[in-house]
Amino acid sequence: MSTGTNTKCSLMDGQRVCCNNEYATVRYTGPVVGASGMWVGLEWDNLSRGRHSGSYKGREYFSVGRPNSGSFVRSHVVDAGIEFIDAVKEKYGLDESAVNEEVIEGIGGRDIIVIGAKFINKKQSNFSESFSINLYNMKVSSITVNPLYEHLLPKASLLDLSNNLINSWLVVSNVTFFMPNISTLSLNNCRMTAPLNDSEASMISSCFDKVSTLSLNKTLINWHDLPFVSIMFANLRELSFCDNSAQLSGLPSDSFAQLQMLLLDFNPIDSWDLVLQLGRLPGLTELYCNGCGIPSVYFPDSKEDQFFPKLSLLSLKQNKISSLESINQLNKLPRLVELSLTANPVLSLDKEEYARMEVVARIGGMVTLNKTTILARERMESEVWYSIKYGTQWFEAKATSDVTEPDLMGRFLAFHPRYREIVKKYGEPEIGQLKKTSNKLKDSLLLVNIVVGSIESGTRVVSKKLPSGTTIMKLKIIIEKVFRVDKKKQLLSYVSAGTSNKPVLIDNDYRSLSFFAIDNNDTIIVTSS
Amino acid sequence: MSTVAREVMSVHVGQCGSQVGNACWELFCMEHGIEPNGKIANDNKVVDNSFQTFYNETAAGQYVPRALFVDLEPTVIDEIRTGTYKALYHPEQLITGKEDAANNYARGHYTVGKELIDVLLDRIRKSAEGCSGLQGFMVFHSYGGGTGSGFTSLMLERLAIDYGKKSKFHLPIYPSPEISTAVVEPYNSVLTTHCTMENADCAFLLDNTACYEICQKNLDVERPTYSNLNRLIVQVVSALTSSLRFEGCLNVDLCEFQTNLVPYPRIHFPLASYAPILSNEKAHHEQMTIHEITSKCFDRENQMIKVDTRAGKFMACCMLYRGDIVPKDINAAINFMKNKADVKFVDWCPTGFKVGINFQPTTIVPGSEMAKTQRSVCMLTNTTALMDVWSRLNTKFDMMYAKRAFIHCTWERGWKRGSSATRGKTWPRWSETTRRLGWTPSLFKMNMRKPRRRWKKERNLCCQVNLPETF
Repeated sequence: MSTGTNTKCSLMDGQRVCCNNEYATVRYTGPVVGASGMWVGLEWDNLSRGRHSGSYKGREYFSVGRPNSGSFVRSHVVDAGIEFIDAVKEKYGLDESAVNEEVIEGIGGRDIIVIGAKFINKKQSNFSESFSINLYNMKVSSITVNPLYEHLLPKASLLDLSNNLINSWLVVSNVTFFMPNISTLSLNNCRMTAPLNDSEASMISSCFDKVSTLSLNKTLINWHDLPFVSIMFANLRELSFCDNSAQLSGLPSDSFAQLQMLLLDFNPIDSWDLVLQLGRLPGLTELYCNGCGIPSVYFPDSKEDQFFPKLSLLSLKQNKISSLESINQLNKLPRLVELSLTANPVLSLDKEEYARMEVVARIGGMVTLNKTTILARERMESEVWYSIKYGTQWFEAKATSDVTEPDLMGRFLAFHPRYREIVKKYGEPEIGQLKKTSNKLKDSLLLVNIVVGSIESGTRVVSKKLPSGTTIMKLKIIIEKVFRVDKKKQLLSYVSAGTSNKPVLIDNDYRSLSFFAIDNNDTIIVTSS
Repeated sequence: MSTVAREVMSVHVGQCGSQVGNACWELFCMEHGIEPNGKIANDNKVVDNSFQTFYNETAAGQYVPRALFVDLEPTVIDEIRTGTYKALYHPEQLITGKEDAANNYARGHYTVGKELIDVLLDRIRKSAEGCSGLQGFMVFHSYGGGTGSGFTSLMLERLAIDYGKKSKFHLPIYPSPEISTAVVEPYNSVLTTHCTMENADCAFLLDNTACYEICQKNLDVERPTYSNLNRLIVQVVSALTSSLRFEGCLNVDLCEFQTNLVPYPRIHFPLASYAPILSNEKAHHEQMTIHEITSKCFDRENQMIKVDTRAGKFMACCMLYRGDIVPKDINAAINFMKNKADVKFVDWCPTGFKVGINFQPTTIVPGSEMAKTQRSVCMLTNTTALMDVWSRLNTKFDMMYAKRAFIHCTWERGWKRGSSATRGKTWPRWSETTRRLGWTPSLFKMNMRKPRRRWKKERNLCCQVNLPETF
């Protein structure tokens, strides 16, 4: 853990430092009234380390972005970080002490044998062959151009500088002196300050013209500084901008012209309007907005061609989309083929399979939903199910459209924009399919009227609700209880409701009411033999 | 590496084996830059010849996989014959019969299998003759299917006769507890394990349910299909064989697995787990440090078979790191592992941990849900918790056998009832013998008071048990 030359005068305001494994930004260096010696005022990344907001005993020395994140420390505990080239050598450089088979006292009393350490070290220390450099958490704070090491890593295309102490884009641009062919750059967790103006940004941009993938997660870069990023990285294809507490706003029209993939996960985007503004990006094919708190999705009708013209993958997991109307809107995207909607309330509106079928039916061009391909058969089943589900409403709307409520059809189609298309493909749903069968026992009871003698004789008629599966034996027992006619002497017959047919004899005691086709409101005539 | 000895031949048996094999060779070709027609792309010069352990170089400069696909019915292999990689394989490598084994071990082993076994062995012999130093075989098959179980055991018996000293490694797909494709899977599995117990050197069990759950939880796939599972499985296979296919230190070889992971010849079932398994978007914002991937390996969620390792003890452990990893990071990871309290070793087995590093990072097939990561680790542990796996299988077997359910299928097809007095008798004793084999709790929960004597006795028991002959 090298401390470098960090006397108090070499620490600058805004410099990123590390102190006991916690990262902080220097905000003040100098004396503090009420305490002896020289102090360094830090704004901690981790709020729990902070004691105050930059003031001590009534005097304010510096201001902090978030309240209670500041404190004063002695300069000797502050680690200003190391040079890039030193970090590379420390991690990947030739280690004379490496052996190919090393035995370490390990777990549970057993030895751990590490094999191949020397071989790997030899291979990795050959910098001219390295293809990726990872300096995660190595406290790199500066990258100074050193003519000795020009093009040290000619084949290296991936550089990961996450969790380091770099804070300036100018410093990052020096990396290309060592790695001319860099194409993937990762600066997660580095709190970068934006370039001052466009000209500075364009000066840097010549260094980064080969960078196609950039990762800026948790950097707390403001959204309105992104145009600078776009100028610096003119050929950027993929940008990862997650977890930045970014408040989205518009972007200038020529920024990110080549951008194809954009990740905005876990940013607090509360409204879809903000995302919609990204629709102007001409090359965008993949957009990820997982965990952003988006409540609904919509695309304006009038200029729909201009919004997300090439978008083929949209990922909206863990959001708050709760209405099917959003799903309808997604159908407007011309090129959308892959969609992810897991953990949204809209998928819990119905049973899991039904929710999936509903989404599949509402978006016609979709090929993959939640990373599972929609086969042709599944699409057909979903669309037919969808047409049956809303069939009654469709027929109602059709029936009343010309006469009483012309608007009903309009409203129906507004909520089911694909319905017409589906009906054209598969035909209208059958009336028989639309009938709702109730599974409740209550609804499947038959009302039968029981009369002794004959219908005309005027004796009392008792109405009873019986399930259609009641056996005649049971019916006879019921009649015995009610009319006190001995069941062995009962002769039953029935007359269908509303007809004057001859009574049909019920002869078999072991069959049920449904066997004899006894329906609602039929009359059962009891005679005694 | 000028002369390449240590060739490995892979044999893919049955539908499962062939489909996994297809995915496997697809990935291997991507890793080595071999195009679907077998040629190396022009701009990649062959720097490292190590991949010739798996590929044969023909005179025309084409690289042909040293693999054989065999199935008793043609549909699955026909898909390979007409698929993207049809130009990669020689027609003689794809062997098919006409009538399949219908999930029946006896058909796979006796009736239908015996027609095809000679053809297969002939092709194996031809391929082996072209090798300067054949190291061994890798067999991909399932336990539950008819071909995968019956034909594999037949093949292994014959291979043991012809190539006795070569290592034989299996990658069987164990019948999963929840997703079952055939009712007679327990029969097929038990029979094939019995027959291959003597002949196989190491079997890396893989389970469909575990892979399904990994796909659902880690990769966010709503309904995983077999192709999702296969792509996951082949990443594990790639990690296992990476030390053979890329230049590296010799000691992390396939043969070394045998030495390190298999304390006794019958306890040759290591559990594989792999980390990190991430979907594309997660890979962009999750930093996969060595600590994280090492700890994920010990997680139940990253295991390739559903078993609770905390219930058992470790007998041996091998960790294979791949990618952008420096030895210093390994030391840090080891210190981390030391603090893991739940890693306990048995006291009657002297082996410990072996940690290996390979330079080459993982490659993924385009269109795969898994993200490409710069570093990954595959952990192989021989743990006593796998006893659970076998006892599950045994219970199912016992339940069915107690009622003699589905026995008639196998009896009619293969075994003639009463043809030999011993045959009738040995079947019911089979479940008893599996218990005696070494899968009993008593083997693993040793009597602490007199460890040494008991240990020797138990070791003798499991090494020298005279198993009845195959039916």
